Order: sequence, then C-alpha cells, then structure tokens
Amino acid sequence: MNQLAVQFEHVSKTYRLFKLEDISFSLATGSIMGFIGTNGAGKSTCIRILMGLVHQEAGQVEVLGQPMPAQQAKAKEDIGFVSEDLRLYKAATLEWHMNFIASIYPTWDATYAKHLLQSFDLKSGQQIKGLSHGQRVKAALLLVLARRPKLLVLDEPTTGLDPIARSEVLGELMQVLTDEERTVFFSSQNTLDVEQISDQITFINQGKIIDSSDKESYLERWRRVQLEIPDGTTLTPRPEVISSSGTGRLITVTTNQFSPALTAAYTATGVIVHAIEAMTLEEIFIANVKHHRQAVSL
Amino acid sequence: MNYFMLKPLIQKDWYLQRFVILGYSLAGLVALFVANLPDQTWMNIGNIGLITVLLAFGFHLAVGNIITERSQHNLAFIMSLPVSVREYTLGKILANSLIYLVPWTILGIAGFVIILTRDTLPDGLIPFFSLILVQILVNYCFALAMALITESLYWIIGAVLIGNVSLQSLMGFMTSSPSIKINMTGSSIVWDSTTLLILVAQFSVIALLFGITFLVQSKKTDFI
Repeated sequence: MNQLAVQFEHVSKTYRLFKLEDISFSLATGSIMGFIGTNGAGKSTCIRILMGLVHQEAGQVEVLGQPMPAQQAKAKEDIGFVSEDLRLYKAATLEWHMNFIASIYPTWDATYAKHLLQSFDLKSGQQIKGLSHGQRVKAALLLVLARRPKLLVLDEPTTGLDPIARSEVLGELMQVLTDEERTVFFSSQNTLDVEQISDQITFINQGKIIDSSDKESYLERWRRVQLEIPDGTTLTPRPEVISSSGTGRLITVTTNQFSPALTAAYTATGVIVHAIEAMTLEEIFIANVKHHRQAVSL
Repeated sequence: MNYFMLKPLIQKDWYLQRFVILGYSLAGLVALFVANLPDQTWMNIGNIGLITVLLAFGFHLAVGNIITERSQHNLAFIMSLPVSVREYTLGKILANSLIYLVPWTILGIAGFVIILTRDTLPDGLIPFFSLILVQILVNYCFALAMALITESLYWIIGAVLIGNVSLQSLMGFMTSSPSIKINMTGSSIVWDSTTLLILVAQFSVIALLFGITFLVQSKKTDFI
C-alpha cells in the first residue's frame, strides 16, 4: 500500500511571467498539510497540477497512487476539491447539486449531508444564486465532505469568509480530521487557519518551496532572541541566524535553528541574552519569505 | 475513458438548459405556424424565422453551456469530478448535440410535413430543404467546436458569421445550379448526384470538426 497520498518530485512549469521551479514535497496518508504562500507564490498552480488540470513540464506527480495528469479521472474518484474560485451552478438548487454528486459517488452519505446542512445552516431548496459567499463555500464543502473522499484539497477555502462562517468551516474541518485515514492539503494565506488544523507546513514563495516541515518543528526551531552588546564586545555572525534588527547596544536576532547552544555561544563572547521569544506561524512565514527574498536579491 | 461519467454530464447540461430548449422549440413552432399560413409573405417570414431560431439556438447553447460555464467558474466544479479533458469534451459534444438535435429534428420533420402536405409547395423542395437543414447543423457544430477549442465568445461570433456566409452561399449555389433548380420545382423528390455530394461533404465536415476538437483538446496542457 502506498503510504504517500501526494508526491511531487522536481516539478516545474513555466509561464511567460512566472515559473514554478523544482517543486518537491510529499504528504503522508492521514496527515494535514498547510500550504502557505503570498499572492502569486504558486499555490494554485501547484494545486492545479495536483488535480491534473495543469500539466507539469518536468517532474513526476503521484496522487493516491495514480500518476498525474495521466490518471486524473481515477485519482479524482477519491479527491474532494474546494477552491475559493470554484462556483456551483447559480440557476440550480443545493438539493440538485447534492443529487448530482450522489449520482456520481457511491460513497455519498445522505445522513452526513443532512447533518452538514444543519451545522452549516443551509437550506437545500435554495438556489445557489441566492447564497452569500460564505454560504456558497459551505455548500461546496458540504458536497465534498458528504462523499467522504480520501484526500481533501482545499484551495484557500476560508478566504473572504466572515468570522462566524470561518469558524463553522474550520470547526467542521476539525471534525473531519479526526478520521486518521483522511489526508488534507490546505492552501491559505491565513496562517492562523493553517496553524489551527495542520500538522505539516510548507511555505512557497516565488514559485519555489522555501521550507517544509512538521508544525511543531517550526515552532521549536524558530526563535527571536533579544541581545545586549556591551561596550568592547562584537556580535559574531552565526550561520543559524537569518536576520537581525536594532541598532547600538540592543539587537534582536531571528534564528530558524534555535538550540541552547546558540545562546551559550553568545554568552561565551560576552553578549547578554535578555529574552528568547517563541514566534507565531505568521511571524515565521514573514521572516522566512523575507530571508529568501534577500538571499535571491544578493 | 471513464464512460460512467458521460451520463451525469449529459443529464446536467440538459437540466441546466431545459428552459432554453423549451423556449427555442416554442419559437420554432410559432415560426412553422407562420410559415404554414396561406399568404406567400407569411410563408417567407416563417421560413426566415425558422432558420433564425435554429441559428440563434445554436449560438445560445455554445455560449450558455461552454463559455458561461467557464466564465462563471463552474468548470472548476466539473473538473473536480472524476473526469479528464477527454470525458469533458465528449460529454459536451454529446450533450450539446443531443440538445440541439431535439428542436432541429422536430422543426425539420414539421418542415417536411408542410412541404409534403401543402399543395402550393412542390415536393421537389425536400432535397433543397434537407441541405439547408443539414447546413444549419454544420454551422452549429462549427460554433460548438470553436467554443470548446477557443473558449472565446469572439471566436464563436466569428464562427457564426462564417456559418452564415456558408449558408447564404449554399442557398445561392443551389438556386443557381441547373440540376437542383429543375428538381426543386418538380412534383417528385429527386436526390441528384450534386445534392448527395453536398450532403456527404456536410456530414464529413461535422466529423472533421469533432475530430479536430478532440485532437486540440487532448493537446492542451493547461485546462483551467
């Protein structure tokens, strides 16, 4: 049995003004990956390649054991896809959409669909054109969740949702995630959402994967360290420090490979360590992107 | 090829276009009714109305079922289902052709009945009417192929214009062709070699259009 639900190996795709370069990552069955990047970073292109809708020029993509894009129809039997720009048919009702999906997927769970209707506060007889953006997203999510796919691919599903709708969507996703066989690939600009539900995080910037690791590892590795440099002491550059800010005696350094050895090394050179601060995922993301952009511009 | 998906894809397009089918079928029947009125002027108006209804229906289907589906982001929903571009293309061709063939067949049969039952119209008009009817179908297939290949409203408009010119040219050619012209006014139905050759060419063009559509679609590397 293939234990990897998604595998990208050296995937590239070139457009006139954008290039996706050498993308490699994998997602184990049962895990939840948050895919974070700024606008235009390449998240949606990666997802389209994952779904077989865009063909990579180089590299291999395998989803649920199927090579993509060649076996996309087979792979999509077990993939549930919700995207921020996916729309249902305006002139049809949600009930028609539910019957349509039920006619395609034998795994459709009518009882669960009814439960989702209630928890999302949706009415099946309502036409899609009468729904708000939040309701449309919830309707799309209902159609996907009620057929219980093995892999959920969510492309910025919480974008544009009000706080209540966002909370409902995330709440239902968290329920879904209790199923250990369910794999989720979740793209977002909202690091708070990703932090809540993901156990693996991948950062993408300007068409390149800049970091990919499990969430706990990120939160443990990244630290901000406040330092005081006494007169006659100099701050020695260290490879694990990716940026520093401040002037004069007080300096704050950011590291992506924190360990007690770092503070011990500073202390040994006479530098005073005032504080070691944990960073949020958003702060880590911003620091990571800035670091890579600086590295590219040098 | 995931043939299982063709049925729901076809049913979906039928359901979403049901009012359009009904509307154009009714408009076509009104045109036929007018064409069947005793006065020659009404008959001409009815005939023009019938051709207009069939041409407009083809344009409406190509735009409503393909271009609008893409512009309103419904395509992402459809392509999230277990289909590849092949199933999508075949589903669209089958659904749209079947939808178009319903009013096309009804109105065509009604036209044949009028020609055969009305004393003032010679039965020899049947081959002429058949060629016009099939050419309208060719024009629709051309617009459908352009919609699938280019996904552009402008290209569909171009296809409709080209189709209209080809229809006018065909009518001009038929009324100036001595063999067709003589048979057209006769009391018996004669399928001469020119008429049959045009019919074969028309159906060949339809096959070619769909073949090219499949070929181009299968070469696309970015579908959404």
